[in-house]
This record gives sequence, C-alpha cells and structure tokens, in this order.
Amino acid sequence: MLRRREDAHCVVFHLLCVAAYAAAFWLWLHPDVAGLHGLPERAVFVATAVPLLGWISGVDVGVNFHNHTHRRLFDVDWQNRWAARLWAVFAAWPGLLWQHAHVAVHHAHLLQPRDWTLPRLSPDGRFEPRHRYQLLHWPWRSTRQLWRDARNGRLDRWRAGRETLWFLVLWSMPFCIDPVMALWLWLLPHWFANCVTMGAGMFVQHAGCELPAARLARHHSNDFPSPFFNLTMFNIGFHSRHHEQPGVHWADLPASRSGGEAAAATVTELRA
Amino acid sequence: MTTPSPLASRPLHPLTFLLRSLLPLAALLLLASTLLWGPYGFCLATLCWWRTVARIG
Repeated sequence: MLRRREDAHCVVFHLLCVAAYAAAFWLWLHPDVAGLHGLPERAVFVATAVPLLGWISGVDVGVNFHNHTHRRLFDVDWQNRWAARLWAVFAAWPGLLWQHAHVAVHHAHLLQPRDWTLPRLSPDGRFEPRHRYQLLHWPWRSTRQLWRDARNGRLDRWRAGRETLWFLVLWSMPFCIDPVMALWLWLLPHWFANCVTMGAGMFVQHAGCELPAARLARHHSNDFPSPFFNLTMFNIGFHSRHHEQPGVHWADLPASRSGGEAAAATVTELRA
Repeated sequence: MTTPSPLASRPLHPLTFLLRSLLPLAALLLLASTLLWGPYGFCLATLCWWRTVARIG
C-alpha cells in the first residue's frame, strides 16, 4: 500500500493530529466531563488548545503533507487523491492548491519574482517584515494568487474547482456539528497553523537568501541541523538539499548531499 | 556480492515512531489531561511542555 515503509511515520503523525482534534471537539461538546462550565474555563481551554492544535496542524501540512506532494505515499492513484483531500483540510487548504503553491510556484521559481509564496521584497531589497508577511499571506495573498494562476492557465481550473468543492464539504463539517466550537477549535487553529507555524517556517527557511551576495554565492536556503528538530520535522532542516533534490525521500535527506556539498567533496577528493 | 543501497527502505523501530510523532502525541495527551486536571491544569501542563520543547529544540 505504502511506496516506502518509512512513510508509515507520516500516516501515524497525521492520524495523531486527527485524534487531537477529535479529543478537543469531544471535550468542548462534553463540558460537564471536561470541567468547561463557565466562560473563563472555556476561554482558558481555547487559548491553550489553539496554539497546540495550530502547531501540529502547521507541521502536519507544512512538512508532513508536503512530503506527499513531492513523492506520493501510496501505490494507487485514488488513495493518493483522497489522502491529499483528507490531509490538507487540517490546515484549511485544498490539497491540490497547496501542492500547486508549493511545487509549481515555490520550488519551480524559488526566490524569483514569480515565487509568490515567499515574502515580498522591501525597497531595501530585503524580505518585508516577518509579521507583515505572516499576517497578510494566508488566506489573503494566497487566495488572490491562486485565482490569478487559475485564470492564467497555470493551474488546471477544472481540477482546482473540483478539489475546492471537496475541500468546502470536508472543512465545513465541524461547523455543522457546532458552529461556535468550529470557530474556536477549527478555524482559529488553522489560522495559527498558516500564519504562525507555516508562515514563520517559510520566512526563516529563505530569509537572507534574497540578498545579492547570497544569490552570488548560490545560497538559496537556510539549514537547521538540530537533531531534535529534524527528528520531529521529517528532516526538513536539510533545506538546501531538499530544494536541490526535491525528489529525494525525506528519510534519505540526511544521507544525501546538496550540489554545493558534493562539489566541495569532489574538490577535496581531487586534491587528495 | 551486492551492497544494499543506503537509500533503500530502512526497518521501522517503535521508538522512532514514538519520537517522530512526539508533537501530535503530546498534544493528544495534553488535551486528554483536561479530564484529570480541568482547563487550568491543562493550561499549566501545556506551558511546561512548551518550555521543555523550546529548551530541547
């Protein structure tokens, strides 16, 4: 069923995220059992649950589903299609549109004017302030740009429309159960996932690389070598390697080498 | 004799499952702690968890 055995990690990670949302919903819907009697208790519960759910959602889509967009997890097409639908909805994205933004825009046009997924440039040539990017990118800029890409034919309109409809059906389900619950424990964590977790991630992975000196040195991404970070984030800290070889499986990234590293090793070997 | 590719599928160890899924697993357990300690205990336990993660990461 899975193309690579290691991808069982991705599935387990996602199922735990689903279970965390189910637990939060259940607690909200059973206030007597959970001790959520009054407004202060509910406020404390929401204020604590939103960053917790938002953080894992941001990782689940920004890193974990991201692995699926580069290399499909399953052998069969319909399984991959449904995996995308049931996965990206946990950060308020239609899977196909997130994949388009990441693969066809970000990877294909990294740090170029057409890469609208990254922060805009300020007049001094640097990225705009981080908080401005995080607050404005999702859903405002991303929706506008996806609409433009669909109109310009860069994004298949029919497939985008179909997947957006599926997304609306799936994403609206918690609102049908309890609209107030969905507002606090579904929409707000998704805002956190996009604006705080994924927004900050996108910013720091490429901040500084937009400057001419970095471009001359072909420094396009920032790496994060912390073992704990890479263990819990599917090796996304090996970011230069990921951009240079996006087809390399996440489990193989620590053993692979980026172009720059390979060239340096070759020079060392030749000198030896 | 052929050498296995270093990039071939590796065996899965239960401990790596646990560690790689640490973030959502902790979120699930912390949410479940509301049943034991109520929303204020959940908030306190989550704050301790964030501090620990920030220290390790």
